[in-house]
Order: sequence, then structure tokens, then C-alpha cells
Amino acid sequence: MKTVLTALFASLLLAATAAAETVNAEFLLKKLDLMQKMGSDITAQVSIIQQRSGQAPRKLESRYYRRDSDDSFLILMTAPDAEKGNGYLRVGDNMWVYRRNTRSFQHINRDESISGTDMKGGDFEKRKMADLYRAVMTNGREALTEEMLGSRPVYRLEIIAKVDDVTYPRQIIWMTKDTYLPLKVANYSGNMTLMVSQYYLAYQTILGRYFPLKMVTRDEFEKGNQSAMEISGVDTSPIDPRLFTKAKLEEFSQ
Amino acid sequence: MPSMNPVVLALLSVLGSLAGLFVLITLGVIAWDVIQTTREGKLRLVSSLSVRNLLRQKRRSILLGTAIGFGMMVLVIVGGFAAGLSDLMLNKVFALMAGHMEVAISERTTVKAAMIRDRARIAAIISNGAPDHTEIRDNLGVFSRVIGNGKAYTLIVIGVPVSNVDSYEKGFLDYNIVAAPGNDLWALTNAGTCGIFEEKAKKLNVKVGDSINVRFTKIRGAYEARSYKVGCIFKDSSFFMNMTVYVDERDLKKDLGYQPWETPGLQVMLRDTSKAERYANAIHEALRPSAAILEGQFAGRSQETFALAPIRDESRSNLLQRIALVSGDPNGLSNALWISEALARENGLSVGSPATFRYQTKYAGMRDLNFTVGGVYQPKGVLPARSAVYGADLHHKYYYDGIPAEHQKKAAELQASNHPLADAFVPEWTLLPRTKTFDAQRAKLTRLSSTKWKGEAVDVRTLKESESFVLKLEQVLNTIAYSGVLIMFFIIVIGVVNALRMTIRERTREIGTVRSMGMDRREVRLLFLFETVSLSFFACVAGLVVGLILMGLGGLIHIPSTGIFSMLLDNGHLHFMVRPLNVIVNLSLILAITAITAFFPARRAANLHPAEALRHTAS
Repeated sequence: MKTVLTALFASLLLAATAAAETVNAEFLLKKLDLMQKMGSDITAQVSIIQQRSGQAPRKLESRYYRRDSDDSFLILMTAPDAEKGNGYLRVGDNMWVYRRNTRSFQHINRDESISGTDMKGGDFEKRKMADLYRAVMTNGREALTEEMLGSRPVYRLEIIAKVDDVTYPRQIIWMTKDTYLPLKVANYSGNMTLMVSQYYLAYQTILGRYFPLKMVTRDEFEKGNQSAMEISGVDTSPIDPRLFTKAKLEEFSQ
Repeated sequence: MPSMNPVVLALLSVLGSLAGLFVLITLGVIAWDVIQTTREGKLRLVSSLSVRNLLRQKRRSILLGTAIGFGMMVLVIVGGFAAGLSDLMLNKVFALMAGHMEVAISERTTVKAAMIRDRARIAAIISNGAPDHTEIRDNLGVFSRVIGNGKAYTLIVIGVPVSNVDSYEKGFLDYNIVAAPGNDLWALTNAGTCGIFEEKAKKLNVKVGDSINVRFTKIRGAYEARSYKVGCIFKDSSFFMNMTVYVDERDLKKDLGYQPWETPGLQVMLRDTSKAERYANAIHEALRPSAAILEGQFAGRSQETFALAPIRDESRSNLLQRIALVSGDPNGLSNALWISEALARENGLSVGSPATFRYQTKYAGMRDLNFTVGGVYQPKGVLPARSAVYGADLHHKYYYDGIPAEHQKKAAELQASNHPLADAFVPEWTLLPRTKTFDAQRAKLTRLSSTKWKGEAVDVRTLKESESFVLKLEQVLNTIAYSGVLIMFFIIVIGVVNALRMTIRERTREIGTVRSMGMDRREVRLLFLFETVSLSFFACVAGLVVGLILMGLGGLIHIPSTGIFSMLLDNGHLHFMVRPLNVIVNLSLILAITAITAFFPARRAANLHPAEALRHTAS
């Protein structure tokens, strides 16, 4: 899920510098971490279509506001009606959920779901991939290979968690060789059961940064479940600092 | 719930008080009449005359008695159903799921998890506090996504002690779980197997020998998946029980990320559930925490043992007033280690030095904690000459993964309750106050979750406190029944008044005759009262008997349902339970209503002048 967030707010990757550097697991993980750093404030419209096996699709829409300078984040749910007006606010280490029907704020934990989606509170923390994961070692060598993913030459990196509080203890990431953009991430449980696959279908450059606009998350454990995320209306204008407050979230939700 | 207008509330209170006063006075007058008549030795005569009169008017008595008896029957059946539902929910569902009592510890460090770090210690406290418990069991269950050969379902995977051969079979019987025909309960003792109920096995399209895949979240938030072979299929039980899947608790504990000495929570089953609250209070008292002091030494340096105390963030200024910080940042304790001058000198440490603190854990051997010295202080007699303190943030990060060994002398010195810094030390856990109802408990936990607390929060609760909403449900059902029956009784009351008026009218000359023969007003009043009350009494007894018979017959009918309705069933049968106190209350209520209703027509009859009554002719 960390990677979904990474994808949500991916930042600049400078392709030109890639060739000159030694590519190893640490380098690639740091590239992923670099993608999370936003050079400017970000406002975007995010739409998620959830498809559960045997059920009608569920569409969630929200407005995202993010400012990295003080680690602030605000999500305001705009659809469906059951979720409309609910919101999530993160300031520093604190993250709250605001429920419109009870007009109350509650602290949200790292392992709690966001609006019933696969995203968790912990996905919004600024924890670095390089701190959380390391390469799987095979015969004393990092599990890092070069291969083709469709028609794209990619790095295939297999990583394992260094800590025990990540959603997926093992991951395989396929990253483009030229720009280090993740194209696919396979997420595994501790006993190497494939749980979820993520596909990054479209990137766009905004102010010189690569930004993922479309991605699909496929549930590999319960086949037939998947969610498609689409980001639009990305705006890098500065956000009013007063926006990242409980009062503002409450006002927005009315 | 919207609050009521105070004026309306006051008006209702006044009206209620007046009605209560009226009822008391009336019943008082009736009681006085009975006492006086008994003293005069005429009670038997009056009561036998009443019964004779009742028998004289058979049709009227039967019709009125049937109405009263029907009301009693409805009260008994609805009361029996409500009490049965409470009993079913509390003792056959929630007691099995949560025990009669529970000690739950929420730990919140990087993530929030149900976690008792030292199962043996808490179990010993429970054992002492609740001496006649029948079982202390691990609350080991996890909501899981289960996939078979058909659909996927969210079920609760529960760990059972399959290794405990002596109590294995009894354990399942206690839960009312029996193997379906052709299945072997003992098959569950084979490694990697699970037991599942018929209904869910059918929905998942699995049979014995097939595999199910289970996905759940580990205590630290990581997803885990594993496969179990279906070893045994159980006969369907209640709606709730059918949602459970049973596996070896050792496997589940390991899969969830618990160490063998840890557990998510402990549930207690009692022989006498009426003692639950008393036991819970005793256990709560015994769970008062000590300060979370560690005792050890700096690795690779002086081998002098010392106590290391965690300081609450809000107590830093208190600490600084009592000790003298010689070097270091006074605001930097939260993520730092401060050591006494003696320790600094003996170990060659100063601000900025790395230091490894080594201590004996209770279960995981020796453990090293790496610090950077952030301050050096003079203890000024408040702390031992050789001592160290560290911030709450570091404590929460380090302490719980390696709880210290018990009975450490230097730690005990700082754990004394009269220590001047007792309130400044971080305790082992936060003991939540006892709450008596589900609502109060929920409010307590909501208050807790609305703050960004860290550490461990311990809650002791009984089944009746946690599930008091079930008792509320019983009250609601009873209230609905009473409301319905009271409406019916309003109609019956009109019938009683009307019947008595007719009786008085028909028997006016008879009243005149008995008054002329020496019967006084009080006895006439009682004559009519006894007629009505004895009719009510016999009608209520008949209603009770019919109600009991109908409940007995209703309980025999098997209702084949596995849907939401099966929540109301006990193994496919309606479950009724008669509470004698409820029956007595119902009976008293009906008798009181009829007595009060009959009092005024009876008084009217008694107040007739004998001569006028004798002259009365039916028009």
C-alpha cells in the first residue's frame, strides 16, 4: 500500500542521472522515497472504483490536499452519499478521522482502513521505503535482475521488510530502467502468498515531475476483487495553511 | 436521546407522584379493611360469600376471567421469551465468546493491538481474584476472509487448545459444538486442520479433506494468509457459532505474531456468575500498576547494577525541580537517557556518549537497549546515586518487547508507592476505571481513543457490564409486553367496573338485607372486592398455567433456520425462561389493578343505606 501512496504523489525522477549511478536495491528504494517528496503543495481529485466479486462496483470520490513542508494531509470524501462529508486529516504525527454523522474526530491508527478501501492510516506516514525494506539476498546477492515487462525494460527488485509493522512483509517491484518509475508491484505475505498486485497504467509530467494518474490494485487472494484509482485535476498552487485544521475539515464537510 | 422539556417533566413527575399516592392510599384502605375484618373473625365468611357470588354469575365470571387470564398469559410468554433471549445471548453466545469476565489490554505503540505481554502474571492475578473460576482461557480469535471452493466469507478463526487432550472434548461440548454425522472431532488434532460448521462448509463448497484459504491481519498490521485442511465438520449451531472456524491455538498464536508467553486477552468462566462483579473489582484492584522500572547495567563498562526509570513527558519539570541537571538539554529528555554523576564517572560517559543498557527480561533472556547519553544529573537524594532516567517515547518504543524479570531489588526501591517521584514514573500500564454498563464502557473507550495515548490500557469487565445492552433488550421487550397488556387491561378495567356496577344494581336489595342483618360497610366493601380479586387470582393462575404449557410446546418445535432469525434460537428451538420474580410481579400488578378498579364501585355499594337498598326495585 505504501507504493500506492508513492504512486499517488509521485515526484520528479531525473532520467538523465540514472545511467551514471550504481543501481542496487538501496539506490532503487531511495529513488522510490524520492518520489514521495513533493516540491510543492498538491491538490487533486481522486476517484476509486472498487469492484468486489459478485457485487456492484462502488465508486468513491475525494479531494486530496497535501503539503509536505509541515507534513500535512487532508482527504475530503465527496461521494458516495454514505461517505460524503467524512474526512481524514493528518498533521505531523497525528491523524484523525472526521465522521460527519456524529460530528466527531477520532484518532486513527496506522492499521485502520481509509473509507473501507485497501488504504490504511499508516500509508500516509512519511516512512521511507529504504528504512522499512531491504533486498532479499539470494546466494549472497541482492535479488535484483533486469528483464522485460511487456515491451519495457525494467529492474525487478525483490525486497523484504526490516520491521514488523508493514502491511506486506515482502514485495517485488518492477521499475523502469530509464526513469525508475514503478510499473508493477507484487505484494506478498510473510509466508510468500501473493496477496495484492498493483499496476501503474499512466504517468504524466507535471512541473517536470512524473505523476501517476491511473493505477489498478488487484486482489490476488480473493480473485475478482480489484480497485481502479484515477487522479485528475492536479494543482500545484500553494494551499492556505489554515486548511489543515479540524475546524476547516468540519466546515468543508457541511 | 432528545431531552424532555423541564416543565413537561415536572408536570409528569407531579402527576406520577399523585397517581402513586392515590394507589398507595387505596391499597392502604383495602389492607386496613382486611386487617379489621380478620380481627373481627369475619374474613372467612366474607370470602366464602364472595366465591359463592362468583359461582352464581358463571357466564360473567368466565368472560371476565378469560380476559384477565389472557393478559397474564401474554405477560408470562413475552416475559419468558425476553428472559430466554437474554439467557441465550448472555450465557450461550456472549459468555462463550467473551467469558463471564474478561481482562483486556490494548497496547498502542507503533500500532494498536490487543496484547497481554505476560500471560502467566495476569492469569495468576485472575486466579487469585476469582478463586472459584472454572476456566481462564485465551481470547484468541481473528476476523478472517475465508475462501473455499465456492464463495468467500468473513468468518472468525478461533484458536482452541487441541494439545490439551484431557479437556479437548469437554471444551467443545461446553460450546455446544458436536461433530456432524460421519465426522470425528479428534481429527482437529492433526496438524494444519480446521473445524467448520455445516452451513458454512456448504456455502464454501468444502468437505472433509478439502482446503480453505484464510487471510487475516497480524497484530502489527501485516497481512497473512494460510491454508487449512478441513478436518471436521460440526453440526449447525446458532447464527453466531456458525460463523466460527476452529484451529490449533498454537498455530494461530504464531500466525498472528504473538510470542508463546503472550496472548490477546484472557477470559474467565465462573462457577457462580453472580460473583462476577465482586471478582472483577478484586482483580481490578490487584492490577494496580507499578512503575515500569528496568534494572541492569551498561554493557561492556562498569558492571554496577542500577535502576533505569521512564519519566512521563508532563513530569519533566517536576523531575528537574528535584534533581540537578549538571549537563545536557533540560528539554531533551523525551528521546534521551539521563544518567547520574556516579554512573557517568564510573562508566566514563558524558553527554553525547553512546551507551548500551543490558537487562534481564522475563522471557527473552538478556536484552540490549542502545542510547545516547543526553544528560548527567545529581540525584540529590531523590534518586539513587547510581540511577538513570529516560523519556516516555523511548520507553514506549523499548519496554513492551522485553518486559523485565520480576523481583529486582533496585527496581523495587523506585516502585514504592510513597517514592517522591512515584507520579512522575511511567507505570507498567494504565488501569482504566471500572464501568457498570455497556454505554459507560463505550464512552470510556471512546474517550481513550480520542486522545493520542501510548502504552498499555488495561480494562477489567464482566459479561453483564459489557453486554448490558442485552439486558436492555429484555427490558424493552418486557416494556412492549406491559404496554400492550396495559392497553388490554384498560379495556378489562372498564369491563370490571361495568360488571360490578351491574352486580351492585342487581344485588341492591341483597346488600340491604345483609346490612340489616348486621354486616357493616367495611364487610360489604370487602365482599365485592374479594369477588373481583379472587376472580383475577384464579384467572391469572389459569393464564400462567396456559402460558407455561404454550412455552413448553413452543420450545419443542424445531425451526430449521440458519439465517438471521437463528440468532433467536437455541439449536433450532425457541428458548423460553421463566423468572419466578417476574411472575410474582406480574401477578401482583394484575391483582393490584383489579383491586383498585373494584374498590370504588364496592365503596358505592357499601355506602348504600340499608332501608333504601331494601326498597330498591330493579327498573
